[in-house]
Amino acid sequence: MEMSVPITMNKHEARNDMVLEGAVDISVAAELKQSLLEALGAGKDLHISLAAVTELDVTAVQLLWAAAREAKAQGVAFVLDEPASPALARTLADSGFAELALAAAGR
Amino acid sequence: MAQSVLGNTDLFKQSFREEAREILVELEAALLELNGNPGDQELVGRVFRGLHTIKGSGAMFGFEQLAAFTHNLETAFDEVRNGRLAITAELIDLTLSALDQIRSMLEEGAAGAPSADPARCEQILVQVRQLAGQPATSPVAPRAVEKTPAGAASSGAFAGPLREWHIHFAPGPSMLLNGTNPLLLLRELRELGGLSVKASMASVPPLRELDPERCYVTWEMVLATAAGKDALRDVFIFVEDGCELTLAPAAEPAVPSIADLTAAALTEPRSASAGRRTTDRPDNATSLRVPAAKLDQFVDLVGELVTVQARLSELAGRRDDLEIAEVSEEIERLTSALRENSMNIRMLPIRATFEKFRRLVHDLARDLGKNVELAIEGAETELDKTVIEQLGDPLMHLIRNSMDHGIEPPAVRQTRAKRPTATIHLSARHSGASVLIAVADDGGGIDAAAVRARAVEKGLIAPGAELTESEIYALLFQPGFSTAKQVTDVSGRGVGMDVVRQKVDSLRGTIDVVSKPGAGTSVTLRLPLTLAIIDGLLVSVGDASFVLPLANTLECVELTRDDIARANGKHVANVRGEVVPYIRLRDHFHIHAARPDLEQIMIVETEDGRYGLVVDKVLGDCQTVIKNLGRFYRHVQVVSGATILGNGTVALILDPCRLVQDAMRLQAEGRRARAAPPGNPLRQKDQPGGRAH
Repeated sequence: MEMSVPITMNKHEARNDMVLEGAVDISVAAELKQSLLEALGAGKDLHISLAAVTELDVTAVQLLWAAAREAKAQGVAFVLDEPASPALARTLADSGFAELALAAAGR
Repeated sequence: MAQSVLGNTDLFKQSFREEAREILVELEAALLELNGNPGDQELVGRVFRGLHTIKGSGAMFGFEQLAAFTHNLETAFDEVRNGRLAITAELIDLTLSALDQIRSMLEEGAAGAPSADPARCEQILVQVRQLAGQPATSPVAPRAVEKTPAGAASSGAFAGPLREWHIHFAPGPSMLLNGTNPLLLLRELRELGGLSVKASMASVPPLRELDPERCYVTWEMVLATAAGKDALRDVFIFVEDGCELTLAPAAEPAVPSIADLTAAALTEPRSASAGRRTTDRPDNATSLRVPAAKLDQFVDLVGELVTVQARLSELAGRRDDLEIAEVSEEIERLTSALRENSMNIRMLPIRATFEKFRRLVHDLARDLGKNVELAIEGAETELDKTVIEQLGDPLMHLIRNSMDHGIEPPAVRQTRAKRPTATIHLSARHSGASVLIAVADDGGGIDAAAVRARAVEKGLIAPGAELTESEIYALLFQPGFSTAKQVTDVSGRGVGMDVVRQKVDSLRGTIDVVSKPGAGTSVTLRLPLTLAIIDGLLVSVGDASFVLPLANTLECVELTRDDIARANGKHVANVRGEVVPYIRLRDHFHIHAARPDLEQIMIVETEDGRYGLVVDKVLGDCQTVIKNLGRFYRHVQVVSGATILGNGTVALILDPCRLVQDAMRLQAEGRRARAAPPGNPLRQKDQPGGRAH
């Protein structure tokens, strides 16, 4: 697909690894949704790394949240790596998402 | 993908520009209204909110200079809102010139746009600060806006005790698509005080059904702030439509005080509905912004469809096939509904064009030292957008002319026992398939004798010529004509009125002037509702087809060879005792085809009276989409356009008034020099119809 989409997927035997980078916002929301659906459709565990993400907007948060709920319903593991950027972590916390991120990661 | 992100940003910028332009127009209107009603708090609120929206959206879309500049104005109007600064003519004039600068900043980057003048901007700000009683040198950091967005500026103004507010915020379905980021709104709220936020994901649907570009998250917040409800509300000011927003003081005082209730009752309806709805675009969720080019393309396509449908109808008429006839009728019905619909889409109220002139009148009145108010009537009258677009210039010239020549200086008005404040009345109304747009003033009227003298002096008329009043007024619209004793900045160069006539002519309209010495002048433009479609009669001469506008056509009478013989070679017909001169289209267009025994005279009404146009056959009525002939044939005035007929041939749409004038001119020339070749522009090699030989 497009080269500059900040979504990379590595498929392994038992789990899919998804790496998100840079600004994940409304401009890539449709692609993110598609990738999450594909990843979960395989019935494998899903590991998502946010370490290289600089920006996460509300569309990305709600997609990740919906994916976590979906994974739980399917009985597969959904692991979310916390973002490394402190500014992003603060924005998420300021927007009332702190607990949610933890909840998603905990499943 | 990076490309599409960029594309989106540009798109947002563009839509911000469009929105801001509208807000600027409203701001101008509100300011000018405020000039007459300095105490109107609702108007002050409108100005403040307009400025706030421009600042907020501007900062969001990267117009930082614009946002910073607007921020300072907004601060001044916040002071006005809080009763610390009075509305004066000076403040209004300053704000008006500030709006001009904002407008320039808005267009910055666009090709050929004038850029804002930084020195002028600074000067405006210094003067505004002086008015506000602040030291002129007060450092207002240009980037302050980023750190103190909406409301922060006003938060300091509320010196009241801290209060807790419960805020529930659920973005509307289209908010993200409008380019609004809810997380930035939360950040703005945080600027007002201590904020605790909890996001609720309860409305997020299953992944598969989730619309990735819609915001499902809702927020519950508690804000401890000294700022008032208005400041809180202002944070959400440009997203409120379509959003769910409740602002409630924390339940701490279980029974709200009577004072609170009265205050709420007093302020609520004003800030929540009436005032706000006027600044925000109405029906945000139910109306779309569509680029004009797309609309033009759509109408073009409908035009093609109408043409093909006409061919289908003709085909169905020739075949004896009931099924085809049925389908063809159905398509005819649908096409005509579609055509009407698409024409309707192009209809716009003339309000924006009219409102624009408030500023012109205000500025001119100040420059000329006259007191003039502009009264607008029928602003909701709708007409075709292409007509509206072309109206700006002629109306501007008419208004300038009225203000400069028509309206007397206050001292003269006093001696004439008139109200010191003059009125310019701008109105629009429908009249059949036309719209009447009038510019009327209560000034001194037109001095017919002066116009006449001037025309004689300019050699436009003979000294002894007998002219009716309306013929004298028509002279005003001649190129280079001006009765002004001195040329002013405003008018008098004799250019304006000429422009008015040209524009109105190109819109197929007419001008009517009525003037009463000492009481005023009224100029009425009669314009067709639409330029895209014409109701006409299809006629043929030889194998060429022409369309005559139904609006000009009165009746159709037969012309036999006997009639011609009886007229002794004169081109006149006797229509129920009235002598009507006629023009043979066959001769006029040099169509060499056998003449039928029985011809038809189409009687048309023109500016020069009744004339007949002789054709071979009347084929029937038709509603046709007008196609322009293109730039090459622009000078061909007897033809106003062309249309494609059902059988694929081209028919020229004739302008009867021009045709008659052209024929009279040719006749006069012919009398002078028989030998000269006919100056008929239609006799060119590549004429568009290709069939008129």
